Amino acid sequence: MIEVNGLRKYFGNVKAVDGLSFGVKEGEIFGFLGPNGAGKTTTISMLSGLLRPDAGTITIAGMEMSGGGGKARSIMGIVPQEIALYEELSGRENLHFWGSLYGLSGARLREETDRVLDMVELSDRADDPVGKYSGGMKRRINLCAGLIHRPQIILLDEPTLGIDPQARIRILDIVRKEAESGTTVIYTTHYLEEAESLCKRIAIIDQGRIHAEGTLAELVKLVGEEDIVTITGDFRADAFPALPEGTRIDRIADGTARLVVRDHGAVGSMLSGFFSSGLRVDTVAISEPNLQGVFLKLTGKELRD
Amino acid sequence: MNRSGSAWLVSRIALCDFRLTWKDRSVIIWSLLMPFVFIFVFGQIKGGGSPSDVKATLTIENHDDGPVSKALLASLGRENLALVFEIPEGGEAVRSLVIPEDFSEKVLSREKTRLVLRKDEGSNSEAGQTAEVAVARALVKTVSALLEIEGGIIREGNGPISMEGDSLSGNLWITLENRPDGAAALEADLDSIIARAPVITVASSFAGKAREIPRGYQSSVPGNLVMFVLMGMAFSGIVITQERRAGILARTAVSPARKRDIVAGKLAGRMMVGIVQILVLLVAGRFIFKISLGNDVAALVILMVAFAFCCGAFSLVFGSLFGNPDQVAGFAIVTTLVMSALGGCWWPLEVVPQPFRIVAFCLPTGWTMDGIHKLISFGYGLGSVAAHILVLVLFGAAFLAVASARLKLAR
Repeated sequence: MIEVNGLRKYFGNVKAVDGLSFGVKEGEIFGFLGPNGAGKTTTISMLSGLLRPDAGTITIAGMEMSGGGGKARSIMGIVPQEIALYEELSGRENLHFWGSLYGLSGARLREETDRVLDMVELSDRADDPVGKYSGGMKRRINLCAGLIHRPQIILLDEPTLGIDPQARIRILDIVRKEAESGTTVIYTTHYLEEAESLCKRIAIIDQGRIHAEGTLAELVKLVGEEDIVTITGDFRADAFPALPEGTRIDRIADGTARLVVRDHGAVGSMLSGFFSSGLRVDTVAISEPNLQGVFLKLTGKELRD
Repeated sequence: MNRSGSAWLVSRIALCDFRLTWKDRSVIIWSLLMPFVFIFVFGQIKGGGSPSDVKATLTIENHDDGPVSKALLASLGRENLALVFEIPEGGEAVRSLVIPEDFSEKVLSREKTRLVLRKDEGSNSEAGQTAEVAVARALVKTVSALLEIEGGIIREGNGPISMEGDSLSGNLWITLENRPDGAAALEADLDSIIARAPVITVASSFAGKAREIPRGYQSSVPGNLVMFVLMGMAFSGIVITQERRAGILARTAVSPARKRDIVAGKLAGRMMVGIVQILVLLVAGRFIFKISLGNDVAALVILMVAFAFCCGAFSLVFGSLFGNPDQVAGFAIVTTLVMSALGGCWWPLEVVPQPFRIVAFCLPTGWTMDGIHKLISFGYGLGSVAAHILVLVLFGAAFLAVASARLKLAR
């Protein structure tokens, strides 16, 4: 459904997007996971036709985007990071306007407006000015404005930014249902748990480049089968007890150690080494391989909210 | 209409902008209510209504009880004057006519007498001239009536009114000394002659087109109309910067609407707002402030549409050159006031020195004001404002070109 090859975008000397290539199948939720400034929004802007790439090609449903998108734009729904709504107009009036830009009018426009308002459970507040909505309600109408014309492709750029967990869950459910009905979704986020729970395939992006791409299981394999064990207690970095085979130190400081353990069973013998040396252990945390670990391994930094 | 074509998209964007504009109460206050206040205040300062509405006040100090002074006052009563017969307390009248004690007697006996018209130095000179002309007209009318009565006596012989003098030389005059009922008869005759509709009236009009300097509401309605429409449009550039900041322009740009559709839609929306504002002010000007809309209303409509186009494009320039709403507001107020002052919105271009007239014609406001006055004040038609319309369209096209080139849809 979407094919991107060698996509590049420069802002002056800054490489915002540096040779991105990926493909998204019909009905798939494809996630872009990366920190702020990674190039996610620039990529979405080029996919939607707002920005012209400096190099590379984008094909949407078999149509080249090089000439500005043309017909391809009419089958896409965009949900931008900003609340791009008229605060003075009601939710319904906003949806009428955005729907009309996609050719909806009359009874069809009214029906589709009612449909999306029901979907986000805002029918009872539809005639209030958007300026009087809470942040979560605005986000939901922002989502509706991208879905009202039943697009074949939805581009969502951090659609849950700055909202409460309940509203986030509601938005994720809607995105999931859209994908289940055959809509292709590209979803950018810097929330690990969103990418893990929602996306069928994930591209890890940082500094304009895709560092890895695949399903969650495929990405986790990149960091191997190893667990991360974090120990805190009363010990010194230069007097650390001997470690069992298959265990190595990732990071260590006085009082905190982060270890990579190939086998869970090694944790017990490791702790015995601590106790026999007379060292006090306060906490032991074991984490299995996850996106955080993948991101850390690929980019050398942690992804934080 | 094809619902995916440009016309559809432009109309949707225009209607949305039009609706948004009127959702803002401050727009209603500044676009529709404040102009009325300004029109009224400046209209009053510039002389209120049309010149024919002005009545000069004239205080009468009459010391004569004779028939001629009574005839003169009757005659003055028929002039466009407000006569006052009591001298204001504690001060002199602004202008007054003093009729001496022996006025009637001397006029009838053909002796020299003097009427005194006093005018306060600070009084309105135009009203003073009106009063002077009215007194002269009343005097001519009164003397003519006397002559008519004398002629009647000579032809038909003495009735209740006597004449004396030398009938052979024709040096005759009316005397009231021998006939006690003569004064009443003379008064009645004078009254009936003065009350008669004039046999000859003179209708005066300007040869060609009038070049009277517009004044009162005839000046303040168009001046404030042009200033407030321009101001409203310039300030609406703020909305474009706000839409850019909120991501609304970017979202519109990734819909099927192209940049040219967005620019055209924004322009059309602003033109619609401007035309509503112009219509309201012109209708109010005609029916509330009683101004003339001239002889060619169709030409006025075309000129106003061209002006709305020019202002709409001007608004887009503001929205495209600045990224910050505060910058737009600052430049909008300064630009609007300067263009209004130099363009003849505050005072007629007819009274400014030639260099300022040249400056005025470098601005759309100058062309608009000149065009409006040609139509509504001087009675010209479409042909005489064709150049004005063309220039306004060219100004608009230039603004539009700048706006299209500079308008950024995303931050």
